[in-house]
Parts: sequence; structure tokens; C-alpha cells
Amino acid sequence: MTSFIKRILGQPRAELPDWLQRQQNLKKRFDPKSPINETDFVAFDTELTGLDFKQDAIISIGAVKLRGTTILPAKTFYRLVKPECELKHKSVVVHELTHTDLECAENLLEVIGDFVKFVGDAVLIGHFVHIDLHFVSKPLQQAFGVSLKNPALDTSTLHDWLYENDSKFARHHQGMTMKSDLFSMAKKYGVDGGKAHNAFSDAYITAQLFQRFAPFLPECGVKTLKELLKVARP
Amino acid sequence: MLKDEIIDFFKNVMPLNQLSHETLEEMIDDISMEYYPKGEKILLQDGPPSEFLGVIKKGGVKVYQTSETDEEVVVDLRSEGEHFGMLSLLSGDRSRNNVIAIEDTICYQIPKNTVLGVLQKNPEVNDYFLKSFFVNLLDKTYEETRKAYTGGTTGEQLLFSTKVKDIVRTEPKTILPDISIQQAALEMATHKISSLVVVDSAGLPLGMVTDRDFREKVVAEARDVANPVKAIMNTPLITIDSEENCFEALLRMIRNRIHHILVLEGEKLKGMLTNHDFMLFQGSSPTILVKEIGQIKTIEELRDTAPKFYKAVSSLLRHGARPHNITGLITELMEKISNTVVDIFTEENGDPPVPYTLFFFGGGGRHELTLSFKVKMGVVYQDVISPELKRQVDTYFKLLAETLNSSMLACDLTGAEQCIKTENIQGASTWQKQFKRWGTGAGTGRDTGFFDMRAIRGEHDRVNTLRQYLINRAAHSRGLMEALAADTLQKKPPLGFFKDFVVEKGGEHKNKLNLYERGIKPLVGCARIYGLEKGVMRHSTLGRLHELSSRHGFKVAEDMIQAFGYLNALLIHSQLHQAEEGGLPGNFINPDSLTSFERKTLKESFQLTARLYEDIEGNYWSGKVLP
Repeated sequence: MTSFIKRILGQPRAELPDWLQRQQNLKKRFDPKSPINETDFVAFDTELTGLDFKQDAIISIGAVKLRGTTILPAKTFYRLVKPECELKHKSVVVHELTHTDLECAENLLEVIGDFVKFVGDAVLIGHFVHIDLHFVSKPLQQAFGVSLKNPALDTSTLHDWLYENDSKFARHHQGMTMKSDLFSMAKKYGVDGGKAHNAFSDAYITAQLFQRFAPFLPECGVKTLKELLKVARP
Repeated sequence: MLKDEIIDFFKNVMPLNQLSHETLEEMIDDISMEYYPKGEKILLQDGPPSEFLGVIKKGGVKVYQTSETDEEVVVDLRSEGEHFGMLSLLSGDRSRNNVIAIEDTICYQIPKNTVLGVLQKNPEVNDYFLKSFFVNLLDKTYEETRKAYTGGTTGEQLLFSTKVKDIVRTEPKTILPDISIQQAALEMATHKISSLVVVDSAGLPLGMVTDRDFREKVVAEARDVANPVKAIMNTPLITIDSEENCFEALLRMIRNRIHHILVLEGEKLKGMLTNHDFMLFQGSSPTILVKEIGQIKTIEELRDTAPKFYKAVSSLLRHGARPHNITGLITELMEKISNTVVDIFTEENGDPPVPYTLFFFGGGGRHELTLSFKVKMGVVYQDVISPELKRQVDTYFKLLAETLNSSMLACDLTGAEQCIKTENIQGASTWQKQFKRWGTGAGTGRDTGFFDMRAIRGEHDRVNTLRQYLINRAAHSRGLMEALAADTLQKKPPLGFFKDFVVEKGGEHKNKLNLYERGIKPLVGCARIYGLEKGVMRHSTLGRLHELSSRHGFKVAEDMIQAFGYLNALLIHSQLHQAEEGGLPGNFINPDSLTSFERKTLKESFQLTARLYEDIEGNYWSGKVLP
């Protein structure tokens, strides 16, 4: 248990668990020239206690896989971090650790670990994804001194880029929504998020937004993963 | 989570809703979800086959073919909850249709192997898919489609796709008309055959002799065998063109009660088809049903006929029958049944005091009966003068009518309505007098259905003469045409002010729509009026429309043909469904149960009628004749 506390307290590169170790050399396996429709993606979203990068933390993570632009509705991920833990987790960062807090921290790391395993080598998709990436990476940083290595793209950036660069896109969707939050966009592009409103339904909406935007890419000269990441950089 | 939503969605998708929750759950493991922006081609005709069954979650697709002349033939429009790609998924060789998104479309895709697995384990779903290929009758090309499908899987020859020329085997033996009877008999004995076709020196067929003629006309009548064979041949020849489909040939054989039919190519003799040739169509129940009805000897045996009709019609649909094939067969069978009942009646009650002709009018006359049957009959008997004979006649036909009514009622073939009413049993001159009064105002017993009267038993001329009289009167009397127009315009197409459907407000059929009265009948009426105007003698609505289109350049007839076919298909499917649920098929449908495309097509059909009405109102109805 002591070694674990050390990890939490941030000894860099203490033995990484397998799932995280595998993450670290992702770049070697990564082929920027692969066509978009042969790339594995994971659209994801997190629910947070707040937007304070320092103090807030993840409450839940939802994700769905895509092969190219095809959503795979059976390949989904949705996990909650125990609510009582999440509250106390804030104190983990700022204050001393207690035994129960440890369990909770484990709980958060366990969820994130499972998420990282779920994602594998896939390219991440999120709406304002830098926020989600921050909150997924933060516990990893704290515990292991490393962050998530998967490339990521942002549907909000992609949307704006398409609107600027493809007149057909604007015409097809009769103009751009003024608001760029997920729900306004979902409404604008006729995306149905399902009954529930949680990290999973938001991830599902994000996946569908990507699906809506993707058909316009080839004509704009965006065909490979590299080109996509360039125009949809978070 | 997402899976539950998809399962909920699939529970409203025919025929996936027939699957158990567990099966659906398994199925969903391999599912994917795809988005196609408006205009995107999903499958290409002659391109690679579909690797999945697409179930439309949102949006809509158009399924169409491009003909050799680059003409686009729309096979179907499919919307939410409908599917595509099944055909090429099953055939596995190529896509038969183009499928294009006509709205931004989201669909679930079930991979090929998953679909095949489900079909194998769930025969009821399999059945539905087979059937649903024949559902959309707007499709001009679907016969081809169906042929391709069934050809690939069962190898069974089918009544509707197979042309007569494809199954006719050998040329029949022929003989010249002046050859002696004896020589002809020798010829038949040598070749061990039971019939010969008599042809002239140019090879054009004149008549036919069969074994039966030798028994009945030679032996029984002690005829001199040195006589020429033409003395005993059967004329006129019942023939069929080699380009017709086998169903038509079968129908013609049933109609004429013959076992052989000659096949012509142009005017030339091509071959002969016999009952036996149709045995090749294994398990096609219409033939079996015809046979069964033919063997019925008592009215009691007729009782279980209705369910057999349903089965036969369902099988016909599966074999690719068009609506007019089906209404044609139903009508032929009703004729056969009516004749059987009269046969039985005559056996028990003796011959009639005077010769008479039994006829169908209305839908039966037009060969357009559906599964709600509602056959209407009448009798024209030879005029009688003596009051004594008149009394006999009245008693005889009263009894005949009662027998017909009660037998049809007993076998659920007419509903509560009587198929033959007393006022429709008249002497020839009484009929004529009645028709003469038509057009002189309301209350003359005018029923436009009599324009479609067709003899089914007895001397046909008695009915044909009457019908000719009626048609001539309409052609020469502006007043009668106006009256007929007024009659036709009475039933408005059920479209409301906002172009929504007008449904029944209450009662047994609340929120439903009488598809026959409000949809089919107005079209029939319009076709009849235009037909009368142009002197078209055909009985059937399609016949009238085809003639109007080809002979008189009546352009809207094409649209009417499509709409008529569509409405009938919709009605027959709905009736089959009602029968499957254990009810008696009627004419009501619930517009809410239709898919959005079906509703759209239905609305278009009604709008077509509304336009026709305006036209008729403008042309014929001067407003003098009160509706």
C-alpha cells in the first residue's frame, strides 16, 4: 500500500501498469497517412464537478467507438466515479490522504484505467475536447507522471473549419449555429442524443456530429488522419 | 443504454418486432450506425451486393433502377422503420437497385451473417421478408426483381414471371381439316396422343380434336368415319399468346373449363399447354383451390372456403402477383362457386321454367373483387307473358336467390349483404324498361355497377345485349351522362381542407377510412365515365384505362392505372392482415398504421381523384341533375 501512496504523491515513472505502458509508445504504431474511414475513433465525454482545472474532477466518463465514420452502438463505455468519493477526491489533491480516500482514488484511477483500455489505439473525438483530456490526464499525471497519448480531434473546431472552408457545408445545413455548445449543435444538425443526459449520451451526440461533418471532408481535401487532425485540432 | 434504445426501436420495426428480446440483444452486438447525407448513394445497381441490412432510423431512401434507356424507375421509397439491402444481401452477387438517401438519413446496419442467422432460426421473419418484396406494387420492375430473388434461392418456376413460351414444350401434332376422321384417329393412335390441332394449309390453327370428340361426336352419334375431321373439331380455339405469363394461361383454362390451351406466336401455332404443365408449379395453391372448388358437391362443403381464399391470395402475393391478377382470380373463383351453388340448386329443384342468364355486376363484373368479396349478382330471364308461368318463374328464382344468398353467407363470402336481391331478377324487357328510365332523375334505381354487368352462366347474349343497350343510351343521352357524373361525384375523396385524411368520426370504424368507397370506387367511376364517353366496351377498370391511354391518348390514364394498382394492393394487404388476425376482411384501413411514404402515396392517389372530379364536374355536370 505504501508504494501506491508514493505513486499518488507523484513519483514520476514509477512502474507503469500494462495498460498505461502500452499507451506510451502509441506514436510508433500511429500511421498519420491512414485514410479516415479506416481509422478507429472513440467519441467520449466526461462529466465534471466543475470547470476549475485545478480543483474539479471527473464524475463520469461515457464513450462510443467508431470505425471510420460508422458508429458501433454495441461498443460503448459508461462508468461513474462513486459520488461520495469524487467529493472527497478534491481533498486528495489539496490535503492529506486517508484510507477511504485512497479507495476512492483507486476508484477514479480504475475507471480511467478501464477507459484507457477501452480506447486502445483509437483517435479520440470530443466536443471542446481539451477540457476532457485535461481531466482524464490529471489523475494519470498525479499517479504515474504521464498523460494520455492518443491523438484527439475536436468537433467544435471541425465544425468551424468546415463552415469557413466549405460553402457546401454551410448550404447543406443552412448556415451555422451561433452557439457552439453541444446541445445547440445537436439541435441544429438534427442529432438525437437519446433519452438520458449524461456523459454517455453526450459522447453519442459527439460521435453523431462527427458523422454529420465527415462526409464533407473529402471534397475539402481532407482524406487522411493527418489532414483531419490538422483541421480539427483541439 | 444505447442498446436498450435500439431494441426499443427495433420492437417497432416489422418484422424484427417478431423476434424475442434475447434474439434482438444478440443481434445488436454486431450492429453499426451509419449516416448518409441527402443525395448520397448507398447501394449502386450492378455494384457490389449489400453486406448488411439497413434499417432506417431517421430520414428516407429511394430505391430505383436505371433502365437501358437511362430512365429512372422508382421501385420504392422507404422511410423510418423500413429497411433496404435485403435482396442483394440474400442473392450475394450484385445490387439490383440503386439506393440513395433522399433526406439526411441515419440507419442501423445489421451485418449479413447476423441477418442470415436470424432468418434461419426465425421462419416467421423469413416469411415476412419474402413477402415484403412483393408488397410494393407501384414498382414496374419488381417482377424482374422477384424473379432474380426466387431464381437465386429456390429455383422454382413461378406462375407470374414465367412466360408461356418458356414452359411450352413440343409442338402439337397437326392435321389438315379435310383428312378423314378415321385417318385422324389412326394418327393419334400411332403417336399415342389424345389430341390433334387442325390447321389450314398455311399452318394457321382452325380447331382441335380430342379423344372426347371421338367418343361423343363419332361413336355416340354413329358418324361416318370417312367424314372430314373438321366436322368434329372444336371451335373457337382457346389460345394464348406465347408472350403472356402462365398465370394468364391458367386463368383462361379455368374460365373456359378446358384442359388444353394452344399457344400462338403471332398467328402461328407454337405449342400446347396442358393441365399437366402446371403441375410443375409445385405447391402453388391457386391451382389446388380451383381444383377443390371444382370437386365440391354440396353447399355444406363450401363452408370452409374463405380461409382457403386467404391462403391462396397470400401465396399469390408471394409468387409476385399484381393486384389485378389477384382480383381476377378471386372473381373467377367466385364465379366458379356461384356456378357450383346453382348446379347443386338445379339438381335439387329441377331446370328453370324459362331460360335465364346469371350475371355479375359491379366489382364482380369488372373482375375486381377483393377479399371483402361483396359480389353482386342479377338474373335476366326470357320474357314471360302468361301470368301462370310468371308465378312459376317468380317462385323458382326467389328460391334460387335465397339459396345463393344463404350459401354465400354460410361460407363468409359476402358479409351481411345479400349477393342477389329480388329487384335484380327481371325479364329482359323489364330490365330494358328500367334502364330506359335512367337519367330522368333521382330514384330510378340507377346503379352504375350495371355498366359492368357480365354473364357468368347461361346465354351470354342476354346480358351483352342489355349492356350494349345501356352503353348506347349513355352515349346518346347527355342527361344520363350528367346523371352518372353526379352519381360518381357523390363520394368525395377523403382529403380534408389541410390535405389530411378524413376518417370516420365514430362508430365501429372510428378513425378509419373506407379505402374501397373513398379511394377505389371513385377511380372506377371516373374510368367508367371517360370510357363511356369514348365508347370503350371493356369491363375492367384497367382495361378501360389502357384503352383510353392507347387509343384515345388520354394521358392521365397512366396515373390512374398506377393509383388504382396501388390502392388495390394496399386494400388486399390490409384485408389479408385482417384475415390473419382472425377477422373478416373489410374495406377499412387505418391511415395511422401506414408508413409516411404509404400515406404520401395514398394522398397523391386521392389528390389525383380530386383533380379528376374537377374535370368531370366541369365537363359533364351542368348542375341540373341533383346528386
